[in-house]
Amino acid sequence: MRDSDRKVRIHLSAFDRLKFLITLSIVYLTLAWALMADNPLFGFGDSIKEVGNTRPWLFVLAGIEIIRQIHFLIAEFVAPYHSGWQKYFSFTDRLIHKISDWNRYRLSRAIKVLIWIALLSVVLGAVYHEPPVQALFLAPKALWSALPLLGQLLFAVVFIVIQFVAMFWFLSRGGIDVYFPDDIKTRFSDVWGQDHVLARIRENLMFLEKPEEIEKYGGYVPGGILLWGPPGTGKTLMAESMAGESGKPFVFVDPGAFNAMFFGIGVMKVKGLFRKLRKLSLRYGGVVAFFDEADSLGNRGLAPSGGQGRFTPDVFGSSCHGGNYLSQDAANLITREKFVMGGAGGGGGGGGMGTLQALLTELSGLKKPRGFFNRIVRRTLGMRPKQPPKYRILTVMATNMPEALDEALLRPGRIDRMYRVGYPSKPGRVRTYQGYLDKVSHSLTAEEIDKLATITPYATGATIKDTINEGLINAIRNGRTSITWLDIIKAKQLKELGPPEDVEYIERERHAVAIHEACHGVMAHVMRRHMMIDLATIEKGSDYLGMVASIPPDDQFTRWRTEYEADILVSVASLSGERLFFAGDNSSGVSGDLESATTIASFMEGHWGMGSTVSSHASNKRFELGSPGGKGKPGESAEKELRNALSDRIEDNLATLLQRSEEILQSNRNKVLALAHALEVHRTLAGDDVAAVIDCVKGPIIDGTPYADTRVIAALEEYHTAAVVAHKNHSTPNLPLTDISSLITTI
Amino acid sequence: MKARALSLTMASVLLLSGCAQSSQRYASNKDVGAYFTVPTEWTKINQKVLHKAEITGATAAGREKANLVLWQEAYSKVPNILPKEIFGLIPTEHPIAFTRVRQLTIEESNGVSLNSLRDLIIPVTKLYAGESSVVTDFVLLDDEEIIEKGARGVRTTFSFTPPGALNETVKQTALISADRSTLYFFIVRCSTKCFKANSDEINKISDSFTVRGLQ
Repeated sequence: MRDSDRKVRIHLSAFDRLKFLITLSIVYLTLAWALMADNPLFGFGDSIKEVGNTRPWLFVLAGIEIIRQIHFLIAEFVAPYHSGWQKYFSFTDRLIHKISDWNRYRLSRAIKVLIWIALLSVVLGAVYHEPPVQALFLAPKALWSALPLLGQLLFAVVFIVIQFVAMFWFLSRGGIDVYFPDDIKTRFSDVWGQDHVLARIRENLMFLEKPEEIEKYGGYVPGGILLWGPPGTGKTLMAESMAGESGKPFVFVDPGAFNAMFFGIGVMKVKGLFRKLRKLSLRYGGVVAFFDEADSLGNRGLAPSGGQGRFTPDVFGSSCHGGNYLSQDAANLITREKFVMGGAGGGGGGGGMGTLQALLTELSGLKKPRGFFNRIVRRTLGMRPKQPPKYRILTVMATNMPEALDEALLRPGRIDRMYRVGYPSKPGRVRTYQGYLDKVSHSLTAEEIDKLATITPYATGATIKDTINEGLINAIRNGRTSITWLDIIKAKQLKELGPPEDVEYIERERHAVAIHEACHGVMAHVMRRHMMIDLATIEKGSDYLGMVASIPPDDQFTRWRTEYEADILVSVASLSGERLFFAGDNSSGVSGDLESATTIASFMEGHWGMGSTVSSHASNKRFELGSPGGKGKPGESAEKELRNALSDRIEDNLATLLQRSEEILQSNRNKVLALAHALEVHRTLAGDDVAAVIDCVKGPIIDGTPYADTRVIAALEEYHTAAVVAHKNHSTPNLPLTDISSLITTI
Repeated sequence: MKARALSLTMASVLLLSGCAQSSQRYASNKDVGAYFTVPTEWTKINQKVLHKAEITGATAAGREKANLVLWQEAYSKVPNILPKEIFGLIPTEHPIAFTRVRQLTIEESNGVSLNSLRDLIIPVTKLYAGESSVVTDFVLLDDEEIIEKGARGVRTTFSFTPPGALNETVKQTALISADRSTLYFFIVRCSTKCFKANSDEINKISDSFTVRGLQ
């Protein structure tokens, strides 16, 4: 409602009604107090009366105020009175409103100050027994004489404050290093296998170096980059190369910089850091600030709500389209559902205590004028503060726990771009191997290096460097200075498997483990095309008896039903093989295999649409719908049709595949025996040798050709029979492990 | 609401009480630090009138002394009292009060004793000891030592009959400042008959005399 539309005057608050009366009362009491202080004979009552008698103007003022308030009161309740008053006396308002708002404010302020000074001078006059105007000048004199005391008090305050200031100052040092162009020699060319991210970073740096390229078209320099990805993938190296390449100062912020013993130090550090950044930015036209391990900044304990669906690729796993074809809302819904548990855990963190909030406001707070001179002095002189210049600060954060970062930190404006620094691509790995191998003496061919890059799909710069170094140690241990292919393979196996435990199996158990692994190996070799065997071993490690490790031959991002079926076949091959070779017996060593087989089968049936139903079990479970029944096959018995609960269907699928794996192994019995024999003899076989043994060809280390000989197979079968007998009787086999070389010489 | 009621009450109490008369009349001089009260209906004879009366026809020495006076004021229960009645020893029908604060000369300052303070208007000590016969019926009614903040002295009450007049009673307070530079003199007197009739009032006035010393 507008003021002119009101029927009555707006109601005054109690304070506004009484403030002048209260002020007059206070003046009155002060005058009485002055009188009492002057004359020891005065009592309170008499001094009040005396003031009343000697200063009638107080009553005049009080009377005017009371009349004014009565006028207001009537205007508040009686509409005709109010409108009449408005009608006849509003010209004063109009007059006053002719003055501009700003001047009116200044004028009223000046009048108020004058009134206060007048009242003060009256009171001081009473105290000093001087005319009010003179008393006004006596007051500063009294202040002057009180200065020594004030000085003492001030000293005490400063003495206490300065200790804290000094302490906090010392505590807020450190954790921040500034490098200038050319201080660091790392270049972008030193970062291998992350070209796509590098290209983006290069672009960001370009914008920082030449901001007018984007600013002249009305854009702005992107202010923040987040590099996230698994550890060791070169995020810090990338930052280092940025520092090396950038023509602007580069500020490294230690992850622990904001951890502080006292509340507020972290905040001070953040403010100090950004003060420094702004200064550098103005002086050099831009600055790069790098926060390593940004997850140490923590978050405020909120569950990330998915925002722009930032980590959706992870949520949707390696499925071909991820959530990209979904609407933003649907993708966020799924993301939130998935992240609600994980995200909340990262609360608090190292930052804490307002540090994160300080960082958030510094990153994109008010664009406010800064500086003592700019704000205080200019304003005192009646000038408007100068607007802040464009601070070009590029913030780069690196983390391997992006979900631990605060949602607000990652919004555009703070962190504009998020780049996943994943495992290096194969060319990157080749380049990295090449790079590190160039530093040592080696005899690896280009094909071997390519092969090495292929069989180490998740290798990062750090692990590659480590593998090569381990290879060099192997070479030196053997009295060589040059690394061979074998050194690298051994180093790789050592890194992947850890050192063997040097446990000697008893013969029948060794044979059983070998058969177990051979079944895996043969099944993998025969059935699985999307993975290649990396190595097979029966050397006992810390948490396994033996293993067949596989790796994808190419960087592949989609998975298919047939591939998963092959995976399950490889997994259950151990069970079907043990049953096949040990007359229906099987060991507990298959537990892990069955677990992975069941997991894959469950996902196929319930999640990936690779079973007999379409709906996703994950959604069904969330909405408590229950899972749909399988279609069953027409003409099957009633009992079969009833067996259509999800778990039953999984079991059925697994049983079918188990049956199939047994058939495959049955038809490849000779190959299993051959591989088991090779494992028993050599303990560990590289992938190529496994293939060589199965295919009965010559491998890099092991010659598989003898296994084509039927007599060799017969001898192996004989040994196996002896081992099975020993297995049954818990005794030692009555035959030694078949010696192929002796067999071959006799052939 | 409470604060509102409280401030309203305070304002109105102040307004109302301000209209009332003080319970007594306050005579004070902050510079010399001397204060006393008299009943409100008493009449004041101010310093100028007294000073004028004092120097009129006085000797050079007398004038000099009159100029050393820092503050003097007189009050009388009845109006129209003359300065000469204040300064003289003739008893009045109604009580009068008179104060004088005066700087002492160095000689005076050196000679000050409690006895000399008692002897300011008539030689009390000698009369009391029977060594003087200026008056025949001198009676010392009371004598007490007074210690104030910044001054000390005696309060003496005595009665006598000046020649050719009624018997009168005097309650005199005489103090010397701690630095012995200033004399504080306060006297309340009237005829003995009047004194007895107004003794409460007179005692109250005399007791109210307070010295805080030079500021």
